[in-house]
Amino acid sequence: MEILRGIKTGKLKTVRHVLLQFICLLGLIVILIIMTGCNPSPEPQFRFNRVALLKQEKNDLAEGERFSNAYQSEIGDILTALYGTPNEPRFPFLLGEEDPAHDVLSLNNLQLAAGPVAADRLEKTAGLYREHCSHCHGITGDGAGGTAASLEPYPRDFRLGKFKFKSTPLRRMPTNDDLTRILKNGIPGTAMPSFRTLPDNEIAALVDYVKYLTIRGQHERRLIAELSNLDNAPILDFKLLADADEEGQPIDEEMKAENTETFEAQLYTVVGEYLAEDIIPRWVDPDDEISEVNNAPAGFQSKHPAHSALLQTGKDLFYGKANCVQCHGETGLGDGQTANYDDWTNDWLKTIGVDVNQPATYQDFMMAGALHPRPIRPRNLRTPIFRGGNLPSDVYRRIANGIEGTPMPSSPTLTTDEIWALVSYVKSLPFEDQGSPENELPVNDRIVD
Amino acid sequence: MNRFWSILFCLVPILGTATFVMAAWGLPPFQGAWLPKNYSVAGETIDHLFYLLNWISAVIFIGTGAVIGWVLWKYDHRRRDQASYFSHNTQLEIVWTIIPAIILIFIAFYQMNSWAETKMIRPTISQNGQTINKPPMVLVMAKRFGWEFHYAGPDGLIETQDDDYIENELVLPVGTDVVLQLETRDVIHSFFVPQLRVKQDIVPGMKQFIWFRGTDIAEMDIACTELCGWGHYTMKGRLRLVSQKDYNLWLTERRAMQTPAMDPDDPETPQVLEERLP
Ligand SMILES: [Cu+2]
Repeated sequence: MEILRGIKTGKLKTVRHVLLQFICLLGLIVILIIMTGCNPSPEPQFRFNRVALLKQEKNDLAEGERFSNAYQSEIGDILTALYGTPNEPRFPFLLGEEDPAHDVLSLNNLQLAAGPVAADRLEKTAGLYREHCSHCHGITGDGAGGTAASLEPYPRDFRLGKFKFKSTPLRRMPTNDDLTRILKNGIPGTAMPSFRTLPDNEIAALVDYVKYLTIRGQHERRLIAELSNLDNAPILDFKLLADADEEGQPIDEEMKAENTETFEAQLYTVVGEYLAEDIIPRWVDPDDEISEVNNAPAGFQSKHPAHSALLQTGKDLFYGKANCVQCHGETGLGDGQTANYDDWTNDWLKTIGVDVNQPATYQDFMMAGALHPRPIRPRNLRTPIFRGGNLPSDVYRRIANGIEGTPMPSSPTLTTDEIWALVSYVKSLPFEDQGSPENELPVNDRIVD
Repeated sequence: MNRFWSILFCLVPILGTATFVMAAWGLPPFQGAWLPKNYSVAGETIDHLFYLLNWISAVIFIGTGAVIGWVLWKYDHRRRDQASYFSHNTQLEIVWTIIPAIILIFIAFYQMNSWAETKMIRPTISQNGQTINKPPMVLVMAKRFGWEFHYAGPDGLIETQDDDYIENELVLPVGTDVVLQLETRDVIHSFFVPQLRVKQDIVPGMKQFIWFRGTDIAEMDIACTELCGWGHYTMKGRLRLVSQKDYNLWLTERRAMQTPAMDPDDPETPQVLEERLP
């Protein structure tokens, strides 16, 4: 208004005055933005596994026990001492240079992946995990990043130490190559994208960081799971190391030696027994465990005369002996058994007193950070997308080994040729003439995609 | 302060033109802001059109800028020179309608071939004595947030059982017409390769076809240029233009992986690799 009046009356001085005011205001805004922008945001911290604690507490409470509130911070302190923070990762290489964990991951790689994102290419790269992964998988690797709730399936929670797509059998850890492949290929049909465009060293760093978060999460879960044996005593009782007792009287040598021994035993349980003897060995050399993919019958070739017989065998197995139909459905659309949950949900859903049909019974788990339970869908086999890879050997392993953490079982009763027949049939399903299932089965007009 | 406003307003076209010229010459701080190197045959025509339109725009922009500047300067409010005022001039209006119309009609006709070649007339092949549209080599499936590339198998057709897919890496041969079929799994995306001068929106439920002929071996980025969600910025793929020989080699390797190991003693085990060489 003032500007207009200035122009009308020819008072250019007023116009300049207003202009000056305007510029000052702009400057002020810029200064404000710079000031607030420079304010450092608080350093991110690993999130405590409250879901696991709640589950443990509820299961134990049913037996009349209750945990001390101090455990949450004590476990947090132990884990920080062993594994550091998201900005400064550490790893308990207990035996120094000789530690077998060096075969599992390297500290250099962890440092490349940890910390805040460093965009400057000339300086040391860092923050890869936060740049590429944490928005879905979370800073802690708990699969509860900012976008998690809106994704189907949910991003993986590493802390259970279960990986779906791997070349090793059930209950074995994935190899480096398995994890690298997932990062490079992504998981088609899910929100997990491909990171093929990243250089190899960055992928290797991320693989190690995923293992680091997994091992940390496994260790945390182990600590929580053992709480009920403690009778509310501290996990590590530092009072045992004191030189004087509570009244200030010095402790005699014999007593002190005994106390130190007790403390060392506690420490041994926490890092030696739980980590070095249990978690780490399962991560060392998983390559030795890779399950073999036996030679396929020659009829696997689509132009081979025995091919149609092989397909028929596969089809018979699908509906018969292998019983794929139970979950994947009569038409293979994945609509057979749709009321199951995966292990990540079952982990807390199976807690005493929780009923999935009554949200009130698990409201506290939601508050503790669990994601809303959603049933796992068996794969729709009518789409030419295979999450764990589309190579025949991938599909072979999925059938032979099953899929960790899901209701998909391994199939020890099937012969090599039978598995290959199933692979052949399953790979042909998306391209099957749409008339053919209808010959025997009720019309399903959902066969579109 | 006499000429303050006329000078201030003249600075806009002057700085605008200067920015443009500096960018075109790659002068700091505008290095790399101009067109990236072109690797497509059709891209040469597109670049030619781009420069032509830029020159036409430049002449008009600088011309009108100069006239407005001159008017501002001459009829400055402080000076007594009073501009003449009239509300209507048929002659003038006809002139400023017809000249732009002629320019636009010229551009419309001039670019017609290029548009047809890049968007309408798909490369053909002859099959059984008939000329047919060249079938797409790769099905590009855009999704939130990445690119799936479904390669045609030995049968040369996409969307069949022998397809192979690979994410975020597209390998294509140079010196031959490449046809891509674009589809999306979810929302609208846009396939953009600046070095090939190719940009095509991908609309759910529609099949889009694009084609080009690469001129030289190179690596470049594929970007999505349609805001498709929170991960839009991560939707980056890599395109490798390789020689036909390397392409065949790569394809053979991929296809060999698609064939599981078979019993070598079985007399019926076919000689897979040789048979499948394209
Ligand atoms: Cu997009």
